[in-house]
Amino acid sequence: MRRADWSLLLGVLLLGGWIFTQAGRPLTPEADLAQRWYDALCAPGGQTALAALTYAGDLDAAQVTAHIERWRRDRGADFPCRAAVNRSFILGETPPPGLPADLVRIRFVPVDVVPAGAPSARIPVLAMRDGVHVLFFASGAAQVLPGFLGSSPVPLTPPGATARLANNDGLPMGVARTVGPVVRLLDGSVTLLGVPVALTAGRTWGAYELRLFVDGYPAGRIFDDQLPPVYQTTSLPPAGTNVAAGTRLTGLVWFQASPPPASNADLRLWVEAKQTPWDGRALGSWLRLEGWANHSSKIASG
Amino acid sequence: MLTWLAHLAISLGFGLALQANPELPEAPWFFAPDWANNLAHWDVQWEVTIAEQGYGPDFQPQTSAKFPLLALTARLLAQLSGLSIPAALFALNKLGTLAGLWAVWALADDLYGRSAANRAVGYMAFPPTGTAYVYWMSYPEPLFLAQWTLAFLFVARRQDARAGLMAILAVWTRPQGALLVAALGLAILADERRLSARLVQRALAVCLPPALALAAWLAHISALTGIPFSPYVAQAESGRALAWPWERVLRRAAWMIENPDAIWPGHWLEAWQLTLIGLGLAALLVLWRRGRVPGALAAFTLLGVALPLATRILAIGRFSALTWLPVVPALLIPARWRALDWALWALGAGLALWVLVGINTAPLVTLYVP
Repeated sequence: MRRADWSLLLGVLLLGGWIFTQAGRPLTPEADLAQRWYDALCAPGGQTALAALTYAGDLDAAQVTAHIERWRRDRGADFPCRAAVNRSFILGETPPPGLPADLVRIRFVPVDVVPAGAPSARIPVLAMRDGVHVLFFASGAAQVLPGFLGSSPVPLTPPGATARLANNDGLPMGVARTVGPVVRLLDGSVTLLGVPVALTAGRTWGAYELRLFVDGYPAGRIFDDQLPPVYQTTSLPPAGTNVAAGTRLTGLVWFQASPPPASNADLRLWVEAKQTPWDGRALGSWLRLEGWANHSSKIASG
Repeated sequence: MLTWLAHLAISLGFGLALQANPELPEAPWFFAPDWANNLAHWDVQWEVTIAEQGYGPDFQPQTSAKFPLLALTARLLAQLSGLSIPAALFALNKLGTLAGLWAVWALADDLYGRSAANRAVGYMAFPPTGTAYVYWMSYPEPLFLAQWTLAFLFVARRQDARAGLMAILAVWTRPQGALLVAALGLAILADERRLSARLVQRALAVCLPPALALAAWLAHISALTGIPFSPYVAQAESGRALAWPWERVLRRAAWMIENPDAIWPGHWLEAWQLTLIGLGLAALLVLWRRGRVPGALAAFTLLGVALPLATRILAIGRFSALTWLPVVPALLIPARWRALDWALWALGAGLALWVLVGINTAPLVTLYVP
């Protein structure tokens, strides 16, 4: 062998060594972190591990613990559960403006959650329904931000101010703002909350979604026929698909909260506009809401 | 070099055009809308996934089936240079294209002379099957082209150590690398003509290292994915029952005759590719009989097309581009018929552009699976 051959041999050996040592290693730890987080979430107990891994934002530790317990209760018979991270479709997210300077990278990790012992029903190529954001900080730390916590590194837009919408790739999608105080209707132990919003599609939306968070936990959805007739005609669905560019959507988006929120409850609306119905979930835009006005009323029975 | 620059310009131009028009890309939910991501759709997406996530037991069959060289070299390049993974894949694809086209030229020059070599590069760069998109999107095919042609070239020049090293890289790049090892053995046998100590020595130098490298990778990846021999069997669940290649082709022809309303544009393209492959293989056998194509190269080409066809028709055009088949027209068409050369290259480039646009944009979908 000539000298060039020895050099080539050395190059191939080094490359082979690299390939064999790297093949089983992810470049970044988001999949393992999300899997560990879900393993703790899906098992009874496991709060200690979760507290350390969860991004709390402006929620305190007691609120995070309470919301996790509530998520478990809300799953009913589907808890305990089993989660499988879908490594094949981990998506990067273009950081929206206004994030803290030490937040350097965001990844969305799709996860399929099924009741413990149930077979996985997922079709891997299509399974991108649920998941969590993993936030990476300049310090090297990483934390999990689940969709059921109303905390976010995205700054809250004040009531009445306009929030810019972007999808998970940072593609500008349009704007959103609240157009008045929240409307409250009392219905027994359930409170219906109507959020007046105006959304404008700057380009075609494959889908949009709004969620109301009351003290950091998502309020439930309701059907139009649960509303008094006077409100049924002015309601705006909390999720929709195929919105043409230039469309302006206005109306009250209705949710239900139980137990009834306190008068000084923290109310915030999460708004997401997607280029296609299958975009990964974005951090979205967050609108702070004004509490209800004096015209809160009870729904007449019968 | 001009051919390579043409590929570079088309590739970059297309990636940037999609970046400027983020409504256009197909399946945009998988990809950030920058130019390099726009060249990493379809199978290249699995390369991105492997580069970022490595291999594991809970992955797609597609990731478990991929060979590692492109993805993990892209990871290395990205870490050394600061490029994004898709940009690193792009750089390696273009490097492979340059090396591959040069190696095709060098091998054809050794076999047929300068004029045929120049034309061979034209046909390899723009095959009439319309598969030049592998040089535009960040596929691993160009790297494999460089590796297998260089391996043949080095065997022909009796630089056996280099041939063995190229074959090692090939078996870590594409499943067809296993065929290459056998074909190189045939090439040595044909060169030596009789059983001798030198034949054994050469065969050991050329074939043993890649055989060991392939076995090591198969053992390693099987352990990582939990699927024994996953590069060859991981996609079995997607219905790849074995059939004789001609049986599969005849079945497809009968289906197209019986179901004219169900035919997509992609089916017509596959029919065109299968026709060219059939004619090309027939011509290749004649050329081999006349001593114009070495037997080992003909065997590598025949098996490189027949084995994928034994599993399914999908992507057969792309697999045919990994063989000596694209060079056959340069050996059949007289050199003085330059106009025909140019017409066929233009046809190949046009079809490849049609595929490129059709598989990567939502509004102009061709319903072809590359």
